[in-house]
Amino acid sequence: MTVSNAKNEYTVLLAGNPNVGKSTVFNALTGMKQHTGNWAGKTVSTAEGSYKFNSKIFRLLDLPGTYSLNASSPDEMAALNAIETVKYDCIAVVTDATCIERNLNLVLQILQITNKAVVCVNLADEAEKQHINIDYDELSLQLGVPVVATAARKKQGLKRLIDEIYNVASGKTKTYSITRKFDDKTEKAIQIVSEALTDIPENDKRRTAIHILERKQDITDNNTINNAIEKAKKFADGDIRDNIAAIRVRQCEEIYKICVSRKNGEYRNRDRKADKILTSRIFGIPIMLMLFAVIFYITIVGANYPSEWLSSLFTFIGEKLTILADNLNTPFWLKNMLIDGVYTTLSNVVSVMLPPMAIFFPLFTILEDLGYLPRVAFNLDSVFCRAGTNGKQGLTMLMGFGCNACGVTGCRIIDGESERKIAVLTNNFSPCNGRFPTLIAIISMFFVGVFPIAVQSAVSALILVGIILVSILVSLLISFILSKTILKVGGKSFLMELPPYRVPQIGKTIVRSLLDRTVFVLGRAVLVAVPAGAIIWILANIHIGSETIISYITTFLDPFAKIMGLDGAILTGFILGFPANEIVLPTTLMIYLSNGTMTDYGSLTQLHDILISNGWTIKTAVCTLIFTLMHFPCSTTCITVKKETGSIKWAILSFILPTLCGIVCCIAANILFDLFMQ
Amino acid sequence: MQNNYITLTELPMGGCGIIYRLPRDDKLKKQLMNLGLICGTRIEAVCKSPGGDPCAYSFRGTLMAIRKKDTDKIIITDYRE
Repeated sequence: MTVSNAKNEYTVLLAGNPNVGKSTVFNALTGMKQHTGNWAGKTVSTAEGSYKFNSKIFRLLDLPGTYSLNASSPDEMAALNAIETVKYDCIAVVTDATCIERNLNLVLQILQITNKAVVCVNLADEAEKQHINIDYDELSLQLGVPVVATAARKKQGLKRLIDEIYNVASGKTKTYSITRKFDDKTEKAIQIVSEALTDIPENDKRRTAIHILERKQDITDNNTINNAIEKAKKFADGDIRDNIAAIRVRQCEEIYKICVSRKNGEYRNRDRKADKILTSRIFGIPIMLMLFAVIFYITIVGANYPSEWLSSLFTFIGEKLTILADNLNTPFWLKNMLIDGVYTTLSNVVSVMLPPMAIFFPLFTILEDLGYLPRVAFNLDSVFCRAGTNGKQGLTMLMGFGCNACGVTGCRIIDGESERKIAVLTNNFSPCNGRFPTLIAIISMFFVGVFPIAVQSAVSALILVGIILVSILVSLLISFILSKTILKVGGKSFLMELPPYRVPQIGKTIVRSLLDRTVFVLGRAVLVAVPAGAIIWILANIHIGSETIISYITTFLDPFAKIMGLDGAILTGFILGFPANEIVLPTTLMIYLSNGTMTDYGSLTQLHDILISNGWTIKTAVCTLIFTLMHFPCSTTCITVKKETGSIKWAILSFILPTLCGIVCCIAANILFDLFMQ
Repeated sequence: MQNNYITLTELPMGGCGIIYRLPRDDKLKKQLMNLGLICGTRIEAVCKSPGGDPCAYSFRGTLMAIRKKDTDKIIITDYRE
């Protein structure tokens, strides 16, 4: 690497263990809003950002959080690959001050490869609270590279970090590579291999030899080196890789002993007490369920008000748009298509979808920041283990209740390839926020009428809980079947860190989560609802002969829909609702009323009357509930599945799987009703 | 202090011991080593999940959930209940 002052752009890699606040450091440095969480393995694909310092541009690449560079998981592979192939000027290794000993392992592995590095000891404030004293100067001497203490969430120490990265990248600060001795036999092995490395500069021989012995034994194609490796293996007793790994852990221990002293504070104990309750046999599950119930309650009830405001706001704007269009002498059909078609669909999707998302995800993120979510995965693991997967799937399911596309993206936290695919494929069994309004409307219209008014809302809440439980059971069952058939898992090991609890930054979380999701939802609504609105309007308003296109479709689908206990209009609603589940019920209503524009029902009683007069019975309601729960994911989710799995095959499967389940269950329900209820 | 050998699974909650042998399974062993778990590391059983499996173990300042299937393959010694 040449050092030149003329260089205007530096490349910096950001490495570190999972869950040490690496993304927070990344955000603080670049100002880019990458979502962060108190969770292992957040950054799966490499994120990139940049910042300016001393009129130089620093390109910052965020590597996946890993515990090592041994290439034993996709994350580690990606991190190692980046370190080997990217021409960087400095690696910043982010570590957690509260468990620095474990973090040093990765630091030493990276320093083995390069000494163009800066070690950032993050969460220094947390460590101080826990009475952990770190001698940063000594640590820097031991490691041979600058060490900077930071508290990225409070923006402390970042200035110095930027300084030191600049100094190391530009060569102003000289860094050293410290030679750490292994045991005699391993040393001999290292020597044999380094002698075979003829075309490598003298200074780099030792580190390259260790690198080869530790990670590349099987992949070199150079015969001289291969022979040397074989020879070296004879010297060492046992596996050289294991010896190197074990000795490195001891090296970490030594450095830790020299640089860190800790008074046993009460803070760890506080975590411990919290865990004793939150994961206990008696309270663990009930507390978890209660927390989720509260979140769902706040989401569903709280969303009603902003939904109404948005809805009346949109109606108001719609009226003004009509007047505007009239004044502009817009052609009649164009005006109708844009306002009755595009605009109505757009406003419908936004006013139904946005408020629950804007409430659900900040709450979810707060639990995540708190460090509670890994405990949920811990609590749920035994259940999911029986279904062939692991507890982290519980979290992605939970995210699916907010939005299936987000749930599918969230599956990145799951390590095993098969387990991750299972979670992706089954995510759609969690009814998302877009489907909740339909579920709730049908429940309150058809199932609680026989109860006294006073308890009706409680009963409908209970039924909703029942439906959620059914969806979870189906999800588990399908996971089980998948794990035994096409995605064999076979009792893999499961290691998961339970990070320390941290006080969430509530204000910041809400603002960030709100902004992120709002932008996402609005973007999605525009992208998806606009063409969908236009198409639906065309289908409902263009006549062929005496009928509209949509009524042909409805008539065509009707016989099949009847077998499923539905009718043609409902099924057409579901199909046209492919872009967004929010418009399923309004589209169905539009068909019933054949008024050519999506209809927002005024009150539930009104809606109930319309449905009854179109032949709805309790059977239709049950079958619609089932199909709402189990049908193809919305278009955004399908696209996300393709993006996350990298193959159209899985996207198609994620489409077929729930649809097939839904059709089978609907037909079964229909037959059962006909047998017993008539 | 007991000097005989037991599996990590047999260590009751609240007890601690010293790692004597890691699993033979190469991948799991690597993962554990990278977390700082090697022969001679002190490990403490902290708590069970509501289902009884997995359990949370603390070592080197980290709390880690490990399934019974895996703790069955880890041998500890010098343990205290």
